[in-house]
Amino acid sequence: MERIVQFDSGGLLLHGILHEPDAGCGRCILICDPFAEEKKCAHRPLVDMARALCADGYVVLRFDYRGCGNSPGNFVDHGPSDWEEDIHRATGFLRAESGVDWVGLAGLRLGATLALRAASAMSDIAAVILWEPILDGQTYVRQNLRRSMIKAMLTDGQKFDADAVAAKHQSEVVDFDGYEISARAMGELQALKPPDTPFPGHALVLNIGPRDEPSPDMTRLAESLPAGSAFGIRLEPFWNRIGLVDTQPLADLTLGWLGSCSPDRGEHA
Amino acid sequence: MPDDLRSQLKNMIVERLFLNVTPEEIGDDENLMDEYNIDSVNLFEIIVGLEDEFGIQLEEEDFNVETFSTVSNIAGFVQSKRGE
Repeated sequence: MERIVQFDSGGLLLHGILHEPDAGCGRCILICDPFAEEKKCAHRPLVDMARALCADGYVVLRFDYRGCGNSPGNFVDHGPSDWEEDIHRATGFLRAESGVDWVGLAGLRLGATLALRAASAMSDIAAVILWEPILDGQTYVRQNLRRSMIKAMLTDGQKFDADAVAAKHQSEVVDFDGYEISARAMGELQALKPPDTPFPGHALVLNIGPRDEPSPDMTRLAESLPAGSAFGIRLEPFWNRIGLVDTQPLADLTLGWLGSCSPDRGEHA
Repeated sequence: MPDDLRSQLKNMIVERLFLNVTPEEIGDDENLMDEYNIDSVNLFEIIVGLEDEFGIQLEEEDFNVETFSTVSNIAGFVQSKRGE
């Protein structure tokens, strides 16, 4: 069954969808979305992922960060630190609503990095699943500028002005690939990195791209986590695609890995 | 212009864009946008591939449609960025 839920975070009632299995396996998964255009492109694949997990017995919560999707708040007023707090609140809500102690956090891109940071700060998260996490905020922001440049270059023709595109990335309200964000949020994105305190529970680092082996950077992240494993999966970067990509192989790999995790709830304090 | 650079570029393009052609099928001077329907998303993947695998970093002034229109043009661009 899927039902709409709401929970408080930062004084706002955030919107979520709770997926409840007919026969539970005694585990919950919170799905943490990517950001901006990547969230739009990844929406359906993450719905499919939630349903695949639920069909395997997991209670799953999908939700919108404050200022995003169906949740209240203005997009421009919020940023990564707020959304990391939203993950904490969503985790508490999921545990209370389901009555299940074993909670894992699964995130894509920005959502993966925020999930890892949140899990590291909490003492009772059993597992994290990191689908193509952002490892370096500076690179993430630079690549976003690349995307804006390319779009302008292909659509503006002779009128293309690279300096004008770059200037939009340096004002008080920053154009982040068509989404207006505050300079504060931009600063937080640029400073984003995995947490200094390694998450001690089960950790899956999944490199999604043209190769079926993890990149050196992803391998290093997994090696920095006491119970981390890195895998590569050959799959189109569906968070960048307008059309649908079949993400069943990603669901299969994720479910297989989850099945191998010990049932420990994971109290790491 | 060395053939191996063009081959490496074709491999990268086929791999990152998940094209259903072999790298050898891509002509050096074929217009990539016309022949392979390369859009902004695909071009982004190519540029990330250039930076990740070819050791160059693009500046604002490097963004020009012509530069990325053919494998030969991209190869010339990579060479100039490398100072070759």
